[in-house]
Amino acid sequence: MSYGFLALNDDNDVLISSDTKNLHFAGKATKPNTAAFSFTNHGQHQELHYSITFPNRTSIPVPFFTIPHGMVGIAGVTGVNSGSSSKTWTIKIIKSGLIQSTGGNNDFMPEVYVFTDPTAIPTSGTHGFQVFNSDGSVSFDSRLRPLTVTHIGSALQPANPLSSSSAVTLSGNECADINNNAFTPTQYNIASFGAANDDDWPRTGGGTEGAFTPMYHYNALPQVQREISFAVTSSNCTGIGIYGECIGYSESTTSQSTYWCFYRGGIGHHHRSNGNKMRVAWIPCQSGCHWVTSTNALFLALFGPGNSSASGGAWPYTDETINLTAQNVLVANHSFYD
Amino acid sequence: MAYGLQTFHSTGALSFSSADVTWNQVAAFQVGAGASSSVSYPALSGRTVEVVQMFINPPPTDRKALAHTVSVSGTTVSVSGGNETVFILVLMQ
Repeated sequence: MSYGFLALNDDNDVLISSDTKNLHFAGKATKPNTAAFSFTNHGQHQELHYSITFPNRTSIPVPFFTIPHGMVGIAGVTGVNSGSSSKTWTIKIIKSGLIQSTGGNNDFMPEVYVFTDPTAIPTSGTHGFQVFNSDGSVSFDSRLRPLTVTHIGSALQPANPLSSSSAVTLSGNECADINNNAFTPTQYNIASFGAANDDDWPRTGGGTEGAFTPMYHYNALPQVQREISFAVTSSNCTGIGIYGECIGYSESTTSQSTYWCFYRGGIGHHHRSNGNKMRVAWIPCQSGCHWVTSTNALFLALFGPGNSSASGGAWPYTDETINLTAQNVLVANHSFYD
Repeated sequence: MAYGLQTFHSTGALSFSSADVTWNQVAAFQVGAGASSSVSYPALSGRTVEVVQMFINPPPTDRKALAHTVSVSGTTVSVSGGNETVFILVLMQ
């Protein structure tokens, strides 16, 4: 560089540069009192809407969420929403399972720490250290608290949330078992943090880190839809059955029901005796069933109304994965910003 | 510390140090649904680069939402495809 400011650490990594912007802590997002939406089948999920207000509409929040001790399940950011004119952002997080409440507080609801560029964060004080970009915007401000991302992990869900052993037998008759829980996800992977034997979720921080209390930025981009079909056939004979043939009025009905579930990706803690790792798994988001019934009715095997069919229910997307590539997990120490 | 850089809050608390590790934001921008973008950032030269993608005004979670395809070649970050508006955060170390 011919001009500007550049600070590197011992590993030659960039800490502050007039060519970039440091993300700074904007505040903790306001927790919701209740879930905005709850899905009650297949292991359940809740959608939580947090909010934070910025002084401008040009900066975009980068949310990090905690995984509180005692929180069961996995979580991910589904996105941020600014509405059409408001400077208040809604941060949408989904997590599997139900929030456990004690004492009227959602003790096991994730905390959300929000970071953004310095232009969206009010400052106070008359001393400190600022770095500016070539366009005159602030890159770094020591009066604020810059984000130190301590680790970046790689998270990739298994292609199928279900194991073959979790398949069950459901009714093929017009989605009669639609209130099943057969699609509760059972499969997961472990996130990778790069170094050998370093898949334990990060517990050590950098120079200004105290006790390491991880928070995560992970976007629930991956999606998967899985479906299972069951068929049932029945026949009735009003008359006399001889050698398998119906002398009279016969009716043969075949019904096929396709049960399905749609998932989003998430991360969570994976507690094991040999370490604490990060689980990469699926959150059930929606489910349904579609059925088709065909009937063949004949009199004396020759005459009659013949074939007819009916269908109903919600049709699945198809049996597929969407955006299933490894996503980055950014890790930082939230106690530094409390 | 014998050498390096430290910044302190007015309270005297250490806020940032050259003993820290971090990832810096090189760029942050939106890409619309179905739109594409390809931008070169000279600051990425010789650096480790990571790109994070997040949905803006996300669809309901029961709807299929295609993310954009993101690639980094040299100092150029390319984003294309997808049927949702996304926020792209380019980080380097």
